Amino acid sequence: MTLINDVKELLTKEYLIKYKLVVITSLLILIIVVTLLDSLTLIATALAIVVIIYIMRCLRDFILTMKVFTLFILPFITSSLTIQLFLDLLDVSRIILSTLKMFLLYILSITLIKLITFKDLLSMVKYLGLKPVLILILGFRIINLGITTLNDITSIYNVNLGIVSKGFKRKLILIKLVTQAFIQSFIVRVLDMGEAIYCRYRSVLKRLGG
Amino acid sequence: MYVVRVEDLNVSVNGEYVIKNFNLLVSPNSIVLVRGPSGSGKSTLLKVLVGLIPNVYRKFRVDGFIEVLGLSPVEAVKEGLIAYIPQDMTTFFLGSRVCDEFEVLGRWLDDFKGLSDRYVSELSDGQLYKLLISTAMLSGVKLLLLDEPTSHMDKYSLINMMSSIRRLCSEVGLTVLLVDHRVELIRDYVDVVISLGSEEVGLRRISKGGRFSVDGYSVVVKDLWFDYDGYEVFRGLNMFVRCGEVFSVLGRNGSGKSTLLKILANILKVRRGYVSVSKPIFYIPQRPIYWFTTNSVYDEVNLYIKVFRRDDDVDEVLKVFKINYLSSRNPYTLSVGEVRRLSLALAYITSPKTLLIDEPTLGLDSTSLGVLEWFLDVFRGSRSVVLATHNEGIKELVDNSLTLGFDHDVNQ
Repeated sequence: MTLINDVKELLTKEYLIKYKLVVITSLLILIIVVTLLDSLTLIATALAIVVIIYIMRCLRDFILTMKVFTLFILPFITSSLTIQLFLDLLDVSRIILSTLKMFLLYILSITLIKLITFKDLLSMVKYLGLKPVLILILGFRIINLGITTLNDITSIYNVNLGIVSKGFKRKLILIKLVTQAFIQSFIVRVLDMGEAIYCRYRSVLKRLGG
Repeated sequence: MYVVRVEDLNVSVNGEYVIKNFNLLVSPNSIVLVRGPSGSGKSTLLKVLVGLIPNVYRKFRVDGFIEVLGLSPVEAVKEGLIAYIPQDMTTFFLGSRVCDEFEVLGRWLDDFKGLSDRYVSELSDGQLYKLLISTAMLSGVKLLLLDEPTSHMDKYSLINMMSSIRRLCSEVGLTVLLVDHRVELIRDYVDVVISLGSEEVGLRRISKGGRFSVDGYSVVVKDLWFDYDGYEVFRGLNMFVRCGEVFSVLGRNGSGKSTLLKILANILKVRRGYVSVSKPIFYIPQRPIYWFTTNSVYDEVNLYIKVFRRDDDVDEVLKVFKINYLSSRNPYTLSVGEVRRLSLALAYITSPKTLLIDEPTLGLDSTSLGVLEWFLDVFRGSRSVVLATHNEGIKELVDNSLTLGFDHDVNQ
């Protein structure tokens, strides 16, 4: 349980990512890995990880990140092993390969989030043009805004309507209300963000060469 | 030449007028205050002057002559001459951290060095306001449009800001147009006051109370320690709120008022200390300002009546909270003051044992303040209310208070 708590804390504090979100992402990654099982080789994966370690330049960060991801990959390894044993088709190399590929996907995504700063994105204007960079920035911001809005709305509704959500049917009603509030609130906040682009960033991006 | 010239301005949406026959002339290097009650069109006016209406919000129809610094609003924004600071500021930052904003500007602001690694979402409204104004100044704007600054800043920060704005008006030729309804706080710094709409005061009482019999304490906080990634907010905080008491948590921007309310609402978890709050709780946050479910004010009130199985009459509640004229409006199109009245109405329906309100005076005009005063009287004696605010005027409405300081010093 301590490991799970550590992981939760690391995700929420260090990466600002919700634990539940990573669980959902993990499921998606499992599907990707299963469908692309033969697309990458073991050597390429290993090399890529070495490159990523070099980019991250901090072994402590890397180990910590691996520790976090192990928790999400562990169910896959266990279930694969169980199924293979059950079907009498044990293939350890296949499990290792898939595991490494999963690590690779996780590390690549987290490295991208950690490495690409706002400054980097803005400097890309010169090479990519204003529009693609703006789309990229907006994409990052909208994801962040979506997560924040969902957290805010869930917290408020859990406090204010939590007392009436006892029982399965009432819980469903609460989920429905939260979803409706989230959609409306998210749209309004995206519009507000549009105001910010219009008012605050137009002249700045123009200065940067867009 | 005038910095802002507005003649015969009419703004309407779906055939309903938001602003009617409005005229405004703003001279260079002056500070102009436009006052008016909630929903009178103050924020709309700023959005028209910055060109958001009708260029972004296309449903609005705008008639009349509008000129800003000799240009149309859109052209003035394109030239980077106008800075607009809205009421909900969190969405006005594209970067996650304060340092991201500095990257955009290519310069660092010494005053914010201590905050540079902090996430924007963790900053108080007052800190965000100061950051937005400072970055706007650096960009060399000529016209600053501020929406309700007094709602976001404590008295001392507000005085500092207004003094520096006054100085900038004469030194760099800045002109400021702000909309607000708390004239008394900024009167000394303003050259001209213009009114929009008319205010009405007075409230009808309906009986509410005695649903719970209470004694002892409804909120107990003992030896509370809390930090955001090492940025310490509370060190051994103690706080006690008696049942039936209206209690205020006062403090300057960034002193931890909102954080404390989130801890009481169990939204933020503490690692050390004891926190006990009587349930059920109702929490009205400072942000997000909008957190509603349905498509109309009537439906929202009705929803809470049904969910909490109350026998209140929707129309009666709407009348009491002075939102009956808004019953068909989508809650997301209301002004901040109107939204706060709707939030109070929902809290009234749920009748919680403990009510937590973050910045209760946010966007409230005299009518809304009257509603709040009445509301607190209804709750007083039967339920507990904890208000977090920088507005020291709230002391007149509460039974007890606690003041948070920056060096973790606390007075209760």
